Amino acid sequence: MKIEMKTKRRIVDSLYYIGVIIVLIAVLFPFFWMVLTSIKKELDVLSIPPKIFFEPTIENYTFVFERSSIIKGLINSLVIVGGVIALVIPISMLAAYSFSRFNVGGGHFQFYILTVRMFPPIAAIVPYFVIFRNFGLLDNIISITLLNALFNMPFTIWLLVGFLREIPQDLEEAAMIEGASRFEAFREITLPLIAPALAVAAIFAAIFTWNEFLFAFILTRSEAITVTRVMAGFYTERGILWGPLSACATLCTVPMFILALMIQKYIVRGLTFGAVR
Amino acid sequence: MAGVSLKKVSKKFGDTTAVEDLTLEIKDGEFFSLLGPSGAGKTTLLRMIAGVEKPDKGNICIDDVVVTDIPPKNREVTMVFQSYALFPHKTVYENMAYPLRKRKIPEAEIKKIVEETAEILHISPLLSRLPKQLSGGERQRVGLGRAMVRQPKVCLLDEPLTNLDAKLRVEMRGEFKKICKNLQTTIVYATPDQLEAVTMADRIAVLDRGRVLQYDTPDSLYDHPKNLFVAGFIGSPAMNFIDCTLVEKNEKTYLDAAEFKYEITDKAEKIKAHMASSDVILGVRPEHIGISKNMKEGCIQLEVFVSERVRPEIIVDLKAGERIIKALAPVEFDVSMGDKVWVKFDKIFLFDKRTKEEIADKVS
Repeated sequence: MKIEMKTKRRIVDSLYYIGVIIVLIAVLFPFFWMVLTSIKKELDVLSIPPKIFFEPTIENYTFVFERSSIIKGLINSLVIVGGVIALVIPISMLAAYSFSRFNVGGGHFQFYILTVRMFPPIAAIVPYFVIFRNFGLLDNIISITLLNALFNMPFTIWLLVGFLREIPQDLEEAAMIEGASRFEAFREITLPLIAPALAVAAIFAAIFTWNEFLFAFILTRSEAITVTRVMAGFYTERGILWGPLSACATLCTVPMFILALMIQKYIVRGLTFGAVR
Repeated sequence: MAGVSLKKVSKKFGDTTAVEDLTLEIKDGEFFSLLGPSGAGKTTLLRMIAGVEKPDKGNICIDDVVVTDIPPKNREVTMVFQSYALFPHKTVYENMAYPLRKRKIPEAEIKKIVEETAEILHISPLLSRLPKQLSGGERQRVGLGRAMVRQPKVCLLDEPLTNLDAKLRVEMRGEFKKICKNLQTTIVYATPDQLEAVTMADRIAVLDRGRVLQYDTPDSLYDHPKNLFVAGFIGSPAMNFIDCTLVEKNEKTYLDAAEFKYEITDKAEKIKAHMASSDVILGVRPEHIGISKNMKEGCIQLEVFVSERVRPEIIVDLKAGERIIKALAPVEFDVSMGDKVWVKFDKIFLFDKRTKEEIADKVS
């Protein structure tokens, strides 16, 4: 009986791991292929069947650094991401707080903000292009930051409202009765408790902004060029430069990869927020 | 120490009325209990005194100062929440130090006060722990500790014992009373448990649906309930209520409950004079019912339905038609189902069926 249980347990466990492995392969294979392509010579990239053993090269990387604006793109993207986080997080936090505690606008205002998220950006791109051109904001890092901030805010607000509703109001009220003003109660009690949620919101905003392509493609040219826009440059009239494109994509993945590793702990805590308490 | 007075206070949440036109006077240094079922408006009332909820109408005074528009932090009031509301990211020590920190008290003094308070509450070994590492009873003590560290004018307690298990609740009840007496402050204690209110409070206000039905000492509430609700809420097991009509026959006054007739001997004339109609509700406390196996003058005969032995007494359920009347008897009283017994009411209450008000009290 005991042995049977053990065997059953083992079968269930191995099935579980097989499932995990399949999902992992599906998720990681494109990434793996991208890195692999980035170190292949031009001829090896398109060979059929794909070569498993080949002579690795860094010529794609040298090409990217010498012939494209990757450095500028990386710097611009980092600045935009930083700017978006600096704008979105404080504003969304205060907005979410007032939605969750005072029900500002009786739910209508909150819904109105959320509709910005439902709105397809491509429908707005032409008007934005016209507005930006008329104001002389095309190819401008500030304008692209503001636009990204606007389109990220609904999601972060919605995310933070959910987290804030999980925090009992009793806590703030207790602090207020014990001598804190509302703002102090927010800063000393609520803020430390939603810190993981803020980290989650920040990383979402960072990833969305980093990956944002449409606005960058239409509204930037050279000065405010972003990494995604740089990558698009490898679709040339002479064809797609797969090797350099993969090298560029690999380079662009690195900052987000490092960021994700750094705040991984907070993400897990943030995502399981309701469950642990 | 300070008295609290509420004058014609009303509070609505949307369409639901939480507190309606409520006037209450809580004396300086008193242990005052707000007693009522859930939804009676106890918590709303406490929150309004604390200042985290603003009344729609009416005024609240603490120490003869109108505080209705004063923010909670300036009211010198403290509150222990039903959920304890301990700050989850702060240690027990930091939780208890919080009110002192807010008052800019020097660190050395904070340490002294917190440690002394922890000593009184027997939570000294827990000071470095986080709230989630504590049991329910321990959290409760920390919540109380946070309220005790400073000298508030009024201490508000919102069902502090409700979330504890039965044994701990009885244990804490005694300890709580001792601690509260030593605090030497005005205490307002909300509870749905009449036993807690009766055993601890100097005075009790019985609340139902946002209104104060009666407020008085526990003994007066027990002896002279003004209406049906108070009568049914105070005392355990609860008072029996029997629908009756008052009838007169051969110059004697009877209460006719269909299954039995009960003769009123004293005050009969006065009662009749105060009655709006002859439909009344007879209230008898289980402890005021005398049961005997032998027939006696003026007794009525009922059948035993079931008996529960809750030493040192037994609760006997008597069957009167479809109705069950609960009575208390000494544990030696040996009865079993179906036995016929003779019953005498030692003390009765009469309530108007329509207004639910007590009748006899107005008479005396």
